[in-house]
Formats: sequence, C-alpha cells, structure tokens
Amino acid sequence: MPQIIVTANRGNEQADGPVLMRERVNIADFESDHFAAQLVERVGWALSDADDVEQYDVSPTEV
Amino acid sequence: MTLRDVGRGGRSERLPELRARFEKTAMAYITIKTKTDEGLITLQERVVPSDMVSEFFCAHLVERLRWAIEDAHVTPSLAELDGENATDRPGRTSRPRDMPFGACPRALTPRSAEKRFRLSRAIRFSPCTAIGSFLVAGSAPLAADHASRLISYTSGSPSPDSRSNQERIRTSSHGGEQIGTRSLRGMKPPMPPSDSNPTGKEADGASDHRDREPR
Repeated sequence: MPQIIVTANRGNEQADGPVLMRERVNIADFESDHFAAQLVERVGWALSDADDVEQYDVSPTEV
Repeated sequence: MTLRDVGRGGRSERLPELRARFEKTAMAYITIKTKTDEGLITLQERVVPSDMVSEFFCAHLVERLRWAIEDAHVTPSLAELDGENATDRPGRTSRPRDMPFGACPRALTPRSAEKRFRLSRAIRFSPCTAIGSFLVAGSAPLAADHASRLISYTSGSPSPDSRSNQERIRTSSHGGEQIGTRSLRGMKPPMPPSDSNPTGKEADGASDHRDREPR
C-alpha cells in the first residue's frame, strides 16, 4: 500500500530528515471527502511539527 | 544581503550566514512512496505550513496526493520492470524466444480455422438452445419431446416415446394445451375441432393430403 511521508528538511540532508508522519493510504480512501479533509489536517499538523523541528535544529547553528 | 554580496569579497565569511538563511527557509517534504520494497517515489513536494491556511491550496494538494497514490498503485516494482522477470508474471503470455518478431504464437491454419467455424456453428445451433427456447415459451411437454428425439438421434436408438406425430398432436389438442408446432420439423399443426365440420370429409381429405406431404 502506498504511504505518505512527511519529513523535515535539513538543508542538504533531505533524505535523512526526521519523519514526522508516515501513513499508508489506499486510493479508495479518497472517495470520501471526510477522509480527504482529515488527511489534509494531519498533513498540516505534520508540516507544522516539521517546521518546529527545523527551527530547533537551525537555532544552534545560528548561535 | 543581496545576491551581489555572495560573489564579492569576504565570501568565506558570508557562507555560514547564507547556509543559516537557507536552512531557516527550508521546508518540509511530502513524499509518497510505492508499496514495493524499493520505495519508488511518485511525488515529492516541499510545502510551507502557512500554505495550508489556503483552502484552495489544500484542495489541490489533496488532488495531487490522490494522483500520486493512484500512480503508486499502478507503478510496477523494479523486478517487474526487468525484462527477465516480466515474462514470469502470472497471466502474461510471453513470446517464445525462438519466435521471430511479428509472428503470431497461435496462427490459424486453414484446417483449424474450419474446425473452429464448425464448432461455433454447433454452439450457435445447439440442441440445448432449442430446448431452452421451448422452456422459456412455457411448453414443457414439447421441450421434453424434442429432447427425447434429439437423444434418440444422437445415440442412434429409437425414441422412448414411439407414438406417431398424429397421436402426439391429438393428445396435446385433447389435453387442452396449445402448443406452437412451427419450430419442430415433421410435426403437423393441430387439427380443427370436429364440431366446425360435421361431415368430416374435408378434414379427412386434408389429413390424407398432409400425410402425403414429404417430410
């Protein structure tokens, strides 16, 4: 089953970034609008978490 | 700081600052991988969390995710993409290695084509089809009679029902069942009732005339 992965970006370490979300999704799930809305919400949470992680990792280098 | 400052003097001093700025503006990735072990990526997209505020962006993101997952479903694995293993997939007809390109694996010879044509005709005009049509019409006795005649014809033995056609017709007409006899070869139409012709001469003559008709 395909999976959606949300990872934080660490500049040149794109592949090894921390995984904030990993979810297996079936194509039949997208027939439901409710599922799509919930999925977008989960992806949004994961993106905000990834943003926080990036901020946390970047801040020591700035200092 | 502008791009002009990058190429000028003091570049080594400004690189950490540029790197810090790049890392600060780095975005998260949404990646969709296939179900296979290789994890082929069908979508990799950098998204800023602030983009999720827009409903328009979210709708299009869901649409892109759906496309990518649909592609991930149909994307074969690397082993399947390999030519050697591609012929081993179940349900796939492979061309023999010694067969030249353009040749049909099962070319029809004239004899096999004729045999296939006969088979298609036999299927099209099968006895079961005729029996089925009678059963649908609602005349089960006629269907049973037709089946017994077909069995006797195919096996070479006389029919278990050895009555003549005239007896069968009389039985069916006296039994009160109206049976369509056009589809059966050699069967006569039901006789008119005797009340309509009191003398019975024409009826007898007509029956004699029908008896003399070649079958």
